[in-house]
Amino acid sequence: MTRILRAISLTLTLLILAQSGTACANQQGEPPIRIAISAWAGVEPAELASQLGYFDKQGVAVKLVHFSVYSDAIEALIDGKVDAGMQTLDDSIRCLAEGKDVRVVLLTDSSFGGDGLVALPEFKSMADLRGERIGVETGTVGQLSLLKILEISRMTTNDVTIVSIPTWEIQQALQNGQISAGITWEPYLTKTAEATGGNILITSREYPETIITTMTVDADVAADRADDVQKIVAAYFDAMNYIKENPQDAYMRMGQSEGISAEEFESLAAGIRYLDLTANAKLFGAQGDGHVYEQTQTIAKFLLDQKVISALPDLDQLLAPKFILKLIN
Amino acid sequence: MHSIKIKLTLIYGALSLAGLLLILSIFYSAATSSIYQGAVARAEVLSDEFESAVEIMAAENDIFSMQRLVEKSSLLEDVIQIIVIDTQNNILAHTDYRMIGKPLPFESSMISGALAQHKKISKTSEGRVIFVTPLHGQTYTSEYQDVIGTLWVEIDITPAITVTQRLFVTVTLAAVAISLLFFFGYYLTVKSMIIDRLRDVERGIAHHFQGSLPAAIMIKKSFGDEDEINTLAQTFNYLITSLQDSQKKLKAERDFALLVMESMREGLTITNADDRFEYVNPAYASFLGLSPHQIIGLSPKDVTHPEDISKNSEEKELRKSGKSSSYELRLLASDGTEVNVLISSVPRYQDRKFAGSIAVITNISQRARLEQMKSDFINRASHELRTPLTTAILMAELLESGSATEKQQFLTTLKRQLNRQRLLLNDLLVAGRIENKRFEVHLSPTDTLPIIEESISSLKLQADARQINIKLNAAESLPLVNTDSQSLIQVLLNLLSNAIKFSNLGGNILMTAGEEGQYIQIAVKDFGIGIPAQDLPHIATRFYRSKNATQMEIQGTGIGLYIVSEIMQSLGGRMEIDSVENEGTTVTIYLPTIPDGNQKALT
Repeated sequence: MTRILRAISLTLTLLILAQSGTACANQQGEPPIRIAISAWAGVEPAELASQLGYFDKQGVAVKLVHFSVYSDAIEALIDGKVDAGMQTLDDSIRCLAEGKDVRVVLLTDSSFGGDGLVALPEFKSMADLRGERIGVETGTVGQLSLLKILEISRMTTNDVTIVSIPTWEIQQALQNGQISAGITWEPYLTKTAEATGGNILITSREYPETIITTMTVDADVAADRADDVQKIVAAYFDAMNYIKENPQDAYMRMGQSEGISAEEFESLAAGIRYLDLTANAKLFGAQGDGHVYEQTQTIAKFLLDQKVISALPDLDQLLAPKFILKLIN
Repeated sequence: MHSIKIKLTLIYGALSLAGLLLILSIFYSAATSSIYQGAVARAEVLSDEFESAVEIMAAENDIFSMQRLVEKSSLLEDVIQIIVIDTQNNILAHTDYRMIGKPLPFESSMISGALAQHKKISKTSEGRVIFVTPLHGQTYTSEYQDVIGTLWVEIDITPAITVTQRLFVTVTLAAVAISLLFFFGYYLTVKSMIIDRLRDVERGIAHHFQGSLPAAIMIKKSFGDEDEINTLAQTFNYLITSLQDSQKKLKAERDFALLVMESMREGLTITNADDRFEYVNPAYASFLGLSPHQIIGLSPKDVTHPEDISKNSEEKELRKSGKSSSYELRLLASDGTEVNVLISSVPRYQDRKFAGSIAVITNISQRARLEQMKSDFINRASHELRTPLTTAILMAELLESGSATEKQQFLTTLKRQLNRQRLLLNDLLVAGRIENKRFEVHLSPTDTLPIIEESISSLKLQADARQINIKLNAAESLPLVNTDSQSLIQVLLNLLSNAIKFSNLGGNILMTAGEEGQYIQIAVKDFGIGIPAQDLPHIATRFYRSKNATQMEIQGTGIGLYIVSEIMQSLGGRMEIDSVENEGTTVTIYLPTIPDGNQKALT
C-alpha cells in the first residue's frame, strides 16, 4: 500500500512539475511586446495607434515604455529590457555596432527641420560658436546631427567643446549657462528657443534624409514573434491612415501626448516628413533595393569616418522589409 | 452483489475526492496569500531602495535624475508604475515622463494616510500591490523630518496568480484523474479480492444444493492464506460437509424405515390432521387392490365399508383426544369385496399439535377364512370318521343274529365302511405328513394299469351302493412310470371316490388312461354336480370345499384334491381339473414316463 501511495505521489509531483513548467512557458510567451518610445513628433503615430486601440484590434498586446531620456531607450533595447524601440536609423546601426542584433521593420519619418542647433541669443551664427561649449546627447542621433552641422559649417569637433547632456535637459543647461548651444529636436527645439530667447542656427532642413526614424525590433523577437510584429506594423499604418483621414483629431491627440496643442503639433509636424505605407514600400523597394539601403550605407560610413563607431557592422540583415511587403501584398 | 463494489468505490471515491479538493483549496489560498505577502515585501524593498535616493534628488531639485531612476525601475517586469508626488499632489516623477508636473489623476486615501501618519502603507487589490512611502526632506523640525511628498510603488502580481491558478487547475485535474484511476483500481481490487471470491463461495454453495459436484468451495491463496473470505469459505466447506454427512445419515435412516414399512406384510398408514392418507405401504394398498399412490390423499372413510364409517369416525375422535386403540373394521376393496382388518392406531403429533394417526392394519379376512375351514374340517372329519364306525358297530352287532344271507350282506357293508374309513385315515395321514414336510415317496418302475384296475375294484362296493357304473377306457399297454404305487393308488382312490360322491345316483364314471407325449395321462370324468367357476381356482386348497358341495351336504373333508395335488407334485407329475357346474368334472393326472422305458407292460 505504501508503495502504491508513493508511486501515486511521485506521478502527481511529476505531473504538477510538467504542467507548471508548461504554464510558466505559456506565461512567458504571452507578455506584451514592449516598445521604447521617447518624445519625437515622428513616432507619435505609434502613440496614436495605442490610444485608438489599434494594437488590440490587430490582436497584439503592446506596451509602450516611455523614456524621458532618448539614450536610455536605446540602452534598454540593447539590454533586452524592451523588445523594440522607436529610434533613428543611425542609432539602430550603432546598436548593431555594439553587438545588438536588431531589425528595422518600418520607417516613421524623415527629419526636415525637426532637429537642429539652438544657441543662446548672443550667438548669431555658427562661426560665433567656435570654442564654445555645445551640449548634445552623445551616443544618439544628436551626435550625428552635430557632426552633420559642423560638417556643413566647415568645422570639426576640435573647434568646439562637446558636453554630453540629455536632450530634454538642454534647455535647462542653456538657461544655467552650462552650454552656449545645444543640439536638440522637436518638441524641445522650438520650446528651448522660445524659453531662452535663443536662435535656431541650423536645422535638418540643411541635411535632409539623414535623420530617419524607425521602428527597430530585437532580432530574436522579430524572428520568434513575427506574427505579433506583423500586427504591430499593421496597427502602426492603421494609425497613419487615421492621421490622413482625421488630421485635426489626430494632431490634437498627438499634441496632447507631447504636451502641446493641435496647432503647435501641426507646426512641429512641418519639421518632419511622415512616411506612410507607400513611402515605406518605395524606400525599402520591392527587391530590397530601395533608397534606404543606400542611405544606411552612407550613414554607416559617415559614423565610421567620424569614429562614432569603430568598425562597419554587417548591415545586410538590419533592414527587414518583409513586414511592409506583406502589408502591400 | 454488484452494488457492494460500486457503493464502496463511490463512497470512498467521493470522500477522498472531497478531501483532496479541500486540501487543494487550502493550499491554493495559502499559495495566493503568500504571493501577495511576497509582493508586498518586494514593494517595500523597492520603496526602501528608492526612498533615500529620491529624497536626496528632491533636495537637490534634480527632477531629471529622479525621473530616469523611476523609468529604469519601471522596466522591472512586475512594476506597473512608480510615482513620486509632492505634498500638493503634483507628480514629480512618473513611469510615463509625460505625467511630470501634472496633478495626480486619481485620489487615494493611502497617500493622505501616509502623509498624515508618517508611515508606510500597503494595500493589495485586484492582482496588484500598492505600497506608499512618505518622503522626507533634509531639514529637521523639533519632532520629525518634514514630509515633502510620497512614493507610490505599484506591483503587478497577476502573472504569479495566473501561474498559481493554472498550476492548481492542473493539479486538481491530475488529482481527479488519479483518483479516478485509483478508484477504478480500487473497484477492480474489491471485485477480485472480495466480490468475485464471494461469488465463488456462493457458486460453490449453489452447486452443492443443485446436487452437482460435492463442492469444496474455492479458497484463493493469492492474497494470503488466512483472510475473512477464506475463513468464510472454510466455514462453508465444513458446514456443507457436515450437512452432507447428516443428509447421508438421515437418508440411511429413512431408507431403513422405508424398507421396513414397504416390506411389512401388515398394512401401515399415516394420516394427517385433515384425516387424509399421507403414506400407505404396499401391503395396505394390496388389501384394497390398489397402488399406494392411488390411496395417498384419500380419506380412510373413502375405503371403509359403508356400514363401518360411523365406527371409523368414532375412532378418529379417539385419536384426536390422544387415545390409541385396536379395532376390527371392514374395508371396501376396489373390486367391491369387503376386507376384514384389525387396525391398531395411535395418534401422532408434530410440534405438540395433533397431526393425524399412524395405524398398523392386519388383514384378517384370510385368517378368518382359514380358521373357519379348519373348524369345518374338524367337524367334517369327525363326522366322516364316526359314520363308518357307527355303521361298522351296527353291522358287527347284526352279525350275531340273522340268516347266512343277511350275515353275508352285513359283512359286505362292514367291509365297505372300513375301507372308507381306511381311505379317510390314509388321507389324513398323508395330509399331516405334507403339513409337517415329512411326506416321502419311494419311486420304482411301475406299470400303472394294474393300479388303475385295483383302484376301481377297491371302490366297487361304494359305486354299487349308488348304482354307479365305472367304465375304464385304457390303452392296451402303457409305458412304465417311475412312481410310488401306494401314493398313486391313494390318488386314484381319491379321484374315483370324489367322482362317485358327486355323481348323481345311477350315473356313469368314465376313466381313461393313455400315453400323452412324455406322460401317461389318467383321467376320471364324472357327469355330476361339477364345481362352480369361482371355486375352481381354490379347489385344491387345503380344507376348501365348493359352495354347491356344502349346500348339498355332500360329505367330505376338503382335503382330497389338496392331497392329490401335493402327491402329484411329489411324484413329478401334475393334476388338471376341468369342470362345469351341473355338467360334471374331469380330473386328469399326468405321470412322467421313464425316458428309456419303451418296454410296455402286458395287459
